[in-house]
Amino acid sequence: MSSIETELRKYILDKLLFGRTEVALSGDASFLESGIIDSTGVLELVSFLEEQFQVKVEDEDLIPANLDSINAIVRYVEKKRK
Amino acid sequence: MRVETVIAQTMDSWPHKVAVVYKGRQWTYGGLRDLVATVKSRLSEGGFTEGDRAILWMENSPDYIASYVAVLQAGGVVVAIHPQVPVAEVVRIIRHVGATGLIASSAVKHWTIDDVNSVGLRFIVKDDQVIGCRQGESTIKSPADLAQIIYTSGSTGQPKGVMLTHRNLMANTKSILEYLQLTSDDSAMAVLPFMYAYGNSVMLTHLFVGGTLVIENSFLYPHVILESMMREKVTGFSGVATTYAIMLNHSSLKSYSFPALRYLTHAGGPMPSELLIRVRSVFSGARLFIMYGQTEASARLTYLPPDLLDVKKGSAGRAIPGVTLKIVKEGGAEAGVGEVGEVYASGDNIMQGYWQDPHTTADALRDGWLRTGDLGRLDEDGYLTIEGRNSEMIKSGAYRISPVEIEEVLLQHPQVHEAGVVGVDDPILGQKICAVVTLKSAGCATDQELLAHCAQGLVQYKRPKSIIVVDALPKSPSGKVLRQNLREISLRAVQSSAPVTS
Repeated sequence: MSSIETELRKYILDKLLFGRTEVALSGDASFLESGIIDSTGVLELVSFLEEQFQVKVEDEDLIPANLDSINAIVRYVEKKRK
Repeated sequence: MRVETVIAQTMDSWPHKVAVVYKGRQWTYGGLRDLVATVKSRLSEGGFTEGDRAILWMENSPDYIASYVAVLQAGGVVVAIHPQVPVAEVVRIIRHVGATGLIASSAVKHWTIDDVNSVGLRFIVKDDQVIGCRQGESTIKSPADLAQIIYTSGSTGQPKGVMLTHRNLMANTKSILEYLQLTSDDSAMAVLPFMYAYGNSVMLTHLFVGGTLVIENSFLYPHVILESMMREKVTGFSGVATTYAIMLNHSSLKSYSFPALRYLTHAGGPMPSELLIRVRSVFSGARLFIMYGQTEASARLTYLPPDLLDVKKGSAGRAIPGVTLKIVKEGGAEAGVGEVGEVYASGDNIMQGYWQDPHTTADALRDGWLRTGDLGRLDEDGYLTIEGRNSEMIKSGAYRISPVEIEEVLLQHPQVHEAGVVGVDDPILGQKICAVVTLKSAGCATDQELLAHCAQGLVQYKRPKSIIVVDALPKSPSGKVLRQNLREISLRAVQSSAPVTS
């Protein structure tokens, strides 16, 4: 597991699942479909990504391809960091 | 005239016209008619008959619309529930409303058949299959004209089932069509959940005139919505303050253009004046209708014609066709021009009452008038300005939420001693939910544990955004929790812990 994924999973467990470890979230599970996040949750997630990984998330980057699963976010952050 | 009769006429008149765009596919009115027929045969397999109530537990989709129409065609009553509502609450509603059938979409995943096995359902339709079919015991039959029951959050925390008849829905839909002047050339971006009154009115108006509903089910990614609005050349958009705030603050809205967009509607709480100015400037080609209403009024009570936005600043508009308003002062006397009192409304769109709740009904309906619970005043031209809510309900996003309901869930946690829930002003949500709790002994639970507890018992939009543990709740000498003080505590805690955002 990459360090990005570890940090991200920790954030999701703390802030979105509130420590409910019994909710298994696969890397490709869609946040939209699983209903674990709402529209303000997405904005908080973006703030977290910007602070934690020192990337700038542009408004036009707010699309499912970049942000709708753990794997998508890891790919997105890695791309932004290059 | 019944609602499904008008929709059947549309389906017969425009079989080749696009009714729904969903997940990149199109459904014509003819295609929708076929879907309705399929659901109807499932209902009949399950033994659904006139006067029965069916739960629709599904997201906005062609299947939702088909199920809605099919239940009405079978002479039944629609009870629609948001797909994210936890199964425990769904069970409570099934029992309360005495539903005989449950139609669930495969997209709703957080339940199993076992969860609903013992709640008296006769059948379940899931993934187009009828399961759990059992012979019917006799249930209460609904009155013949009843079309829909919409469950709202009651101020006591008990869910209230707003009973809307065909006559109610017909009257309201016709009024809205009249002032929005919708035709079969119109298409709407449907982001509001159909299971609540505002979204329901967007759905019915378009089905009545043969318009197109472009369905997008999540506002998580505003660009998806904007792309879709542009691609499908939608002529209308209906939102609440939250949807507009997200579009303006978190998308590159200015890089899009919407030449086909003819109108916008706003309801579900006031739009802050700064947001109003920006919405008008960004969507300068579209006419903005400010509206006001309640589930108890089938949706709509007033609208402000777009030409009067500057003349009647801050007003929620005048009564829609067929509705009469009056303002009643404390003590019962009717208020004069400009005087503040409770807003009362009458008209063919006003509900019949709350399902199986004569006490609450008698409180809300008085001599043919609906008491809205909102405070307002009428000017000399009959334009209404809302001054505030009479009750303690929280208005967050598109939802009206009872603090008591959340307090009850918090109190179910074994370590919570007392709980007080309030709405705190929020730039995106209008209000966000904050809970202040005391524990049975110091340090026996963390705010994270309590948030996790709420996540299990409450649908997402009812969950507190923050929970503050205190030693004692602020109370009046008589022991009543002082909500204003709770708001101050919440605001201080939220401000001190707010993350720095761009």
